Amino acid sequence: MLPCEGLTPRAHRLLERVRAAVPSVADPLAFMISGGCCGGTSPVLLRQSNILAGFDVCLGEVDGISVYAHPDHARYLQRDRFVIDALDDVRSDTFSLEIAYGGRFVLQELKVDG
Amino acid sequence: MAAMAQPSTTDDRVRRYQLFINGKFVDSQSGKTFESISPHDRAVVAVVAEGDKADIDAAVTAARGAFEGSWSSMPPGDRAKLLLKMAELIDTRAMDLGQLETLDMGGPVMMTSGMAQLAAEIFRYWAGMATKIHGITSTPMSPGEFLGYTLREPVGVVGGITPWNGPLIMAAWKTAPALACGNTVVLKPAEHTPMTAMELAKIGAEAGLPEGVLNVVPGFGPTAGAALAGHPGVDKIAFTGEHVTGRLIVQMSTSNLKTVTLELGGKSPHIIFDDVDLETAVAKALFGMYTNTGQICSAGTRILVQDTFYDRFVERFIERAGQIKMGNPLDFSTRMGPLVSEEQLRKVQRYVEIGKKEGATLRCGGGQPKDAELANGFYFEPTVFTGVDNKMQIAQEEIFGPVASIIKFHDEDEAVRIGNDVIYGLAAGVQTKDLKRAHRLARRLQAGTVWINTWHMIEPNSPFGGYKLSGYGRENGLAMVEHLTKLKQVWVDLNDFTMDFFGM
Repeated sequence: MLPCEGLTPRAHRLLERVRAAVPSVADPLAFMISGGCCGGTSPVLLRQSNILAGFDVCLGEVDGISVYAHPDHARYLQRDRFVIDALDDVRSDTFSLEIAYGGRFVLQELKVDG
Repeated sequence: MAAMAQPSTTDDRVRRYQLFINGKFVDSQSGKTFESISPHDRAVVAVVAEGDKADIDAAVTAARGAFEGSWSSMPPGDRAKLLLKMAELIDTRAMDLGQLETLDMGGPVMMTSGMAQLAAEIFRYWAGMATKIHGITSTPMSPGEFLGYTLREPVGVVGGITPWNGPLIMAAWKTAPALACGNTVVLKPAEHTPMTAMELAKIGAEAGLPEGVLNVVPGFGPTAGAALAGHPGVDKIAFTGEHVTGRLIVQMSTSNLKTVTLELGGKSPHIIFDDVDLETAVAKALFGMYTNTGQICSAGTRILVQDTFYDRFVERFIERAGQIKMGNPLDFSTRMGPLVSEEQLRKVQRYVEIGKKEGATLRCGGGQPKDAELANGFYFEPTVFTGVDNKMQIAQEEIFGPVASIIKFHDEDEAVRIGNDVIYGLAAGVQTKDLKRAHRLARRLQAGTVWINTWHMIEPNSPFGGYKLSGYGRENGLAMVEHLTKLKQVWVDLNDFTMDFFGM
């Protein structure tokens, strides 16, 4: 079972806003789980061209978008189970593409038996 | 002199800030603004112009003009005077700046006003450095009379991208050294906390910095930050933040091969041996862990305690953690304020869930305080997990909140193994009375800073930066001059004869 299990409806709506605004045919969107400092562990929405093929580890696919992490980070995330949620009307650090569209993706933990 | 920080006409508690470009306070070209809210009660404290690529372009053009104009060729003694004037103005306003920072970020004003004084010290240190940056002479290795010497020249336009957890200090780190070395600066402050960076722009203008030398463009990461990082007119980027953004900045740097320095967080081990005094050990561990609500990249968030000392330490640490005075950060007696944002609150809550799921024991805190006065803020109780295995996610990932993981170790070798078993390497610390052991550990721990019997000592003259995924490059101290200057070798022929290679 891959650790990233999906998008919440709110995250889906935010993603649709981004998709409507930015071209993603030539260079598809991708999520990468960030880590450290003020940006913290969050999904960063970027481009497939930012992913290092053969190095970054895929943690799942949500809504047609692959979710990656640095291999050293992925070792820990792979035991986790989470969905990608969104906070509306919240801005944040990082270069995550959705920030310009009034929201921020965050990780939402799934309960042990959930 | 340009005006700024004019109170709003509708609500005088809401400050208004424009961009600072080419010596003038201006609206963003798009006309967009964003709000900064207080993490204490979510009240809007500032409305700030939102810069994007067009504004970054203008700022870089202004910085380039200033660099090629007067600034890089200004006598270093004159640059030093301007930086000293800025230091004086920061010092005079330290309490006001601290209050603004507290409104923006939520750190207790007792700490933020002290940090404003430290920002003044940073400017003083670099004012002194401005007159001490020079090359060296060399003696030729081969026969013949030649003079060789180096010139140390500024790199050009420096872009600084700062985080929200210490906005004024971070702005000082990104600007004072760059200016001292003869560079010009475009600063993109964190969007949660733009106020003190804008006040620094005002201070620069008042001190008499020439137009374009310091430009401050608040905005969002994917629009303003990325535009700065990818700009071919920028010669160097200094970034503090998380590692995916760090990697994106490196990718963006390839357009013009600009140099990059990165400070990217940590999960620092605080290793406590059984030969120390209990009260002292606990006080230092609390300071390392909970200062700024744990929102410091070099916080001592993995507390490694020797098994023979563990039970006593844990009992007292939990007792003291539960007594930390949390509250409105504008109250001078408050020691712990809220987290910076809802996003940060969500992250911390998630890690508490993960910790429970992983089987660590939640011994203190773990939720938001019950106090009705704090109900609207992003407050989170000082939290302690015991029985933590270093392989757990709460021990491996940077939570950036008030969540301590206490881990048991048996001996020095095990402490080093656990201490180094993490993707980061920003800081580490040791508490022991055994000098030999302390210095052995200083060598064995993989971290850019090792604290022995102390924590959070960061001075303008001491290099700060990371090993491993904590990034590369150093801020503060002489080491930083290397990042902010280029080296040019000059050769002079002193021989009276001419070696005519093609006439031989």
